[in-house]
Amino acid sequence: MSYTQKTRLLEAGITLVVLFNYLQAVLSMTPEAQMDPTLASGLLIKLVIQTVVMLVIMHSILATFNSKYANQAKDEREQAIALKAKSVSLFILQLGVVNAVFALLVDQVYPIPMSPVHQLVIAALLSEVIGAAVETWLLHRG
Amino acid sequence: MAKLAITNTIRTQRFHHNEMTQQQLADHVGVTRQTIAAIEAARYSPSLEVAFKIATVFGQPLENIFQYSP
Repeated sequence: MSYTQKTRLLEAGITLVVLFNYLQAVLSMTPEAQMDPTLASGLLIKLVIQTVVMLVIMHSILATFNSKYANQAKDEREQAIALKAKSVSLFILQLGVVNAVFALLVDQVYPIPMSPVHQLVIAALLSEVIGAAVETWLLHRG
Repeated sequence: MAKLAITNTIRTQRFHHNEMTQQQLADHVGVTRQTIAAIEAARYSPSLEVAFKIATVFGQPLENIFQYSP
């Protein structure tokens, strides 16, 4: 397994954990609490701090055990695969944005149990997880 | 997965160069071992730059390393 593959797998895992924590926090809120901007921004700040801390720690550990490859840039094949995975990731994000806009529009008529802001954040996290998973799989396939 | 129309003799060339490992070739060319493995198995077509670098490592012209069969 190449260093890039390990890092992307690690990032997918970390984002999955963060997504799970975020979903758990959002689903345990009442619909009124979900709409509260103070609570939402607090949750977002917690998410960012959690992600940054976990990524820095895990990357440091990975770089320590793979010091030879840690500073190497991605080669042309890895860059091409990253580009392909990014397009999948962006497609998921676009779906998330369309879904959030749709939720915002129909919210007056049919109340939706989850705030569009949280739907956007979940779509962003989900797109990152799927993008990293696709990249890892493509790197593994060759 | 369908193989590409470009075949290569990298495995043979490595054998003739004192059983050079994929990692050694990758270090010479400046790519990962996985990329060399993908090129060797004809699952990935390298850029011209990488193709020339591989040919240079083996001291052969490019057409001795890569062949196009439509």
